[in-house]
Amino acid sequence: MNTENEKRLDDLFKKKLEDPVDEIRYEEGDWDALEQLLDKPKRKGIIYLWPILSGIAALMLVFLGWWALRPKNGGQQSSNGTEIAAQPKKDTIINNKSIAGTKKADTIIDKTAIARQVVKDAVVDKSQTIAVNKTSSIAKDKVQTIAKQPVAPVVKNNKQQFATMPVSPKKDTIIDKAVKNNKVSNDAYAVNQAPVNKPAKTDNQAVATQPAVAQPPVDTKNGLAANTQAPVKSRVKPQMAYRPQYTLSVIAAPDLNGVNSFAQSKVGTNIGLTFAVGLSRKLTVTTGALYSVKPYATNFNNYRNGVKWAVSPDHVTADCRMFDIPLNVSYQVYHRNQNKLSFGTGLSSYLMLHESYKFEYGTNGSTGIYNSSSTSSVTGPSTINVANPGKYFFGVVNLNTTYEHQINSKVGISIQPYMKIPLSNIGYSQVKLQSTGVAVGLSWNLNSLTKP
Amino acid sequence: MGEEELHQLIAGCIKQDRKCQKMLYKAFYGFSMGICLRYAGNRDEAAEVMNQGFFKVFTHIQSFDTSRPFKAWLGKIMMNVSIDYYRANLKMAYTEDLEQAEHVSDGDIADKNLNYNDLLAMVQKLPQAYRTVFNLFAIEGYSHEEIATMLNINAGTSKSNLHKARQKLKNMILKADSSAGGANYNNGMDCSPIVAIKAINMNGVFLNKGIRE
Repeated sequence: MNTENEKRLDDLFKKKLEDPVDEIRYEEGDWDALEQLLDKPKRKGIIYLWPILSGIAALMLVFLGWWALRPKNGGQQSSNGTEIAAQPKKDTIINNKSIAGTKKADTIIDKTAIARQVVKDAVVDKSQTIAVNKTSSIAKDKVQTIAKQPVAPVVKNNKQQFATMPVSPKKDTIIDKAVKNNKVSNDAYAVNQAPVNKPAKTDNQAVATQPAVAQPPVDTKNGLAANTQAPVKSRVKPQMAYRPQYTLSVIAAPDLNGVNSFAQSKVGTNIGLTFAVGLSRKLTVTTGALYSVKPYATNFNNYRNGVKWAVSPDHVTADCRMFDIPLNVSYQVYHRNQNKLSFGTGLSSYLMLHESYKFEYGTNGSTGIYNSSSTSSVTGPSTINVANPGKYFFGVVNLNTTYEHQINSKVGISIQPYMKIPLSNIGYSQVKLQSTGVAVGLSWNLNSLTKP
Repeated sequence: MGEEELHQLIAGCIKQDRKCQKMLYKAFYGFSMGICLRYAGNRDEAAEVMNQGFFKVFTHIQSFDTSRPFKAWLGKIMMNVSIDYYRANLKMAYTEDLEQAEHVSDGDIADKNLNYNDLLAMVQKLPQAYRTVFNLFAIEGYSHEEIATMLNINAGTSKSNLHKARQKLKNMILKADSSAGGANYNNGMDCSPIVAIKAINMNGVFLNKGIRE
């Protein structure tokens, strides 16, 4: 086609189509549709604002996580005047030896009582004295009352007995959802982008031209026969409602576990199955079950099981095995060709299967008070195996970013850097156990099994 | 509509007055629909897109600078909404080989008596990607570089799409002409087998070099 012809063609269309006001009839139905759009209750906007809200929530969680987990300097173990020293194993002997003036039958010894004794001896563990001074006046009364109570011989029982002791309250994450519903054109976009395609109308023209084929070709000038007509393909795909997408994935994830910070982190392993349901083109809900091995090491300062130790170990090494049941929501931010990127957040429940703790005690001079009166090296228990590991529901916040690559219509691979931030204390040791790692997954798209 | 009346309507719309909104809608219905129809595949689609456009107009009307022409602003919004719609439907984009269209001989297309509806129907029959480029280039007057930026495609793709669009349109015009016995291109009623009338019409076309009376 030469340029002149092109221009004529363009002009023909431009002239006729540019401002065809007279050709178009007003239809009341169109206004009704717009009125409906305008009348949509504003609260509906919250649905469209969900991605923004969840983004804000995720940012707040990251901030809270950072704030809660930032390394603390000189973390002192908080001393509680009501705590009672429970000394497993050798404690009776030690006490009798070391504490002058205590009755022989007394197996419960308040820390302050011991400490006072020690003050007399003038060999003092500095840190403990400070703690004692703070609480001594309260403790004085309590020693007497508690001493009358029956003695619980085993650590575990002690725990039960004093289960009513105040536990540090769980941190509640309050997300202010009262984000004002601004007049963002999101509504418009959201509707706009929903790829609603009306089924192609039967074109009148197509029908109209058909009979002409049956008749003898008229236009002999161009030598164009009417049967040069190409078959009319339907241009628009039929409308398809969004069908939920189901995806099953096998994932494996090495991760780093630490208490309060990753300074002493240890490498753990997670392996399991997840199941994802796509609620819309962008939103996906994921759940599953992962077997997690989470070893961690921490200072004894972070170890709080409600029992006061007579001899404080320096370090605790824990080996926890559990089922991690996540419930996450993710929002897809990018999708081109076979690649997807999404951000997710949610909560995990930990169902403990096995918990064991190893305690390491320092060498002479660092273990505290008892060395002052006894020459032998004194230690507490070296290991604890927890008989009935607990269940911690929705105690951990998950934050993740997922990159997914679809290999074919059924199979895809994914890489997911993630972070798990504790909301509550986890395990027998009541630690704020955090994890970070990268999950690698192989996913199977279940939808392709059922063609619409 | 007078300038003053328009400004009163706009002021009413800023206050979200429903009556004013409806009056403005009615006043610019034809203009807006005219734009959306060109970009859309059919009337329903066009009405939907146009309403999206008006929704934007009514929710953003306070940002309209009254010293500027309203019609241009509205037209721009309608065009943008249409392009947004096109982008949102890119996955549905239809690609078709133009084998058949390539070999159409050049004919004279200027003197065909085709009315608005005929031409609109032809444009609507174009695949969406071609249609959008054709609209932006031939009717709105944008350059290929501008179109490339707007649609997030290469300038080369824009040129190629325009070429294909023109080929197809030309093909349709010639076809419409060859089947002119069916009176208007867009007239679907003509499949009724009233041979006598058709014959007369055809004669008319034949004697009159294709120009209908």
